[in-house]
Amino acid sequence: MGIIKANIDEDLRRKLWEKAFKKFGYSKGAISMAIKEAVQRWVQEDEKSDEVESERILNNNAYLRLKEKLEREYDAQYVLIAKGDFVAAAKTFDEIVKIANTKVPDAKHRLIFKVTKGEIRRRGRLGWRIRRKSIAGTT
Amino acid sequence: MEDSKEKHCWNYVDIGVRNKVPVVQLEIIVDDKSHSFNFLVDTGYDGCLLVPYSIYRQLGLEKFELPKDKWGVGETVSGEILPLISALCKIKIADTIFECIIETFEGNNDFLIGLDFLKNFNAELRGSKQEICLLKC
Repeated sequence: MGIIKANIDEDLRRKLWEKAFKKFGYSKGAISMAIKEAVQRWVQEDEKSDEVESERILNNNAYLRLKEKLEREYDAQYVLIAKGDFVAAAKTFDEIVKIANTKVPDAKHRLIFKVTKGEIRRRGRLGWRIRRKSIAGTT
Repeated sequence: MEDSKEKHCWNYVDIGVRNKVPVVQLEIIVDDKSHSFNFLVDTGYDGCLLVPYSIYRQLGLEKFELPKDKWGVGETVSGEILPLISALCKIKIADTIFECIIETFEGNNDFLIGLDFLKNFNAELRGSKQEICLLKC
């Protein structure tokens, strides 16, 4: 067992106490149990993130390696790449998803896309980020 | 797109800004499960759907992702350039189901419907009634 000392803001501390006592009862160890659960969840989420990222790199490398072949042999078809390799091609999106769920159900990351020749990366606008809020005298 | 000639309307929604905004409810279909969200109609966004990064992760959209060289690059009005993580998915609006590219980026908290989505519909903004109506083209 280790002891962790940390600073959190007052609002978050109050919420933590409320939730912890609600879930674990008004006992001495309630806060420790809540923090342990929160840290476990964060660690799991972070590990999952790392797994997704490493599979993403693997799959994108496979895509770059196979790109020309895919464009030559599977034009206008849906292609599935998972675990660093080509898995299947299909005529419809529903079919390829079905194959993905059957053949690579445990993959953390998959590439599913329609093969199109010569497509270039799109540059687009991301919407208006400025939102005016009502303040006195501006309505 | 599957055929549906009906017009569907949604009331504008107060999101805490000065005017109520046109918002459309639609479902993202992942592994036969539907997830319903409200999307702000934003003609300043030219993609199909933009979702918060946390929602992208929660829905497991990284299992339907496009290769990185097919991702779009987004430019904010302030000129910031961002790669847009993109996934191919089915979406359902009223009785119409179609494929759409869902985009996100780390730090995004907005749900937006953009021009790529709207090109499938005749959209009518009824200012006096404070509602938006969509009719499939």
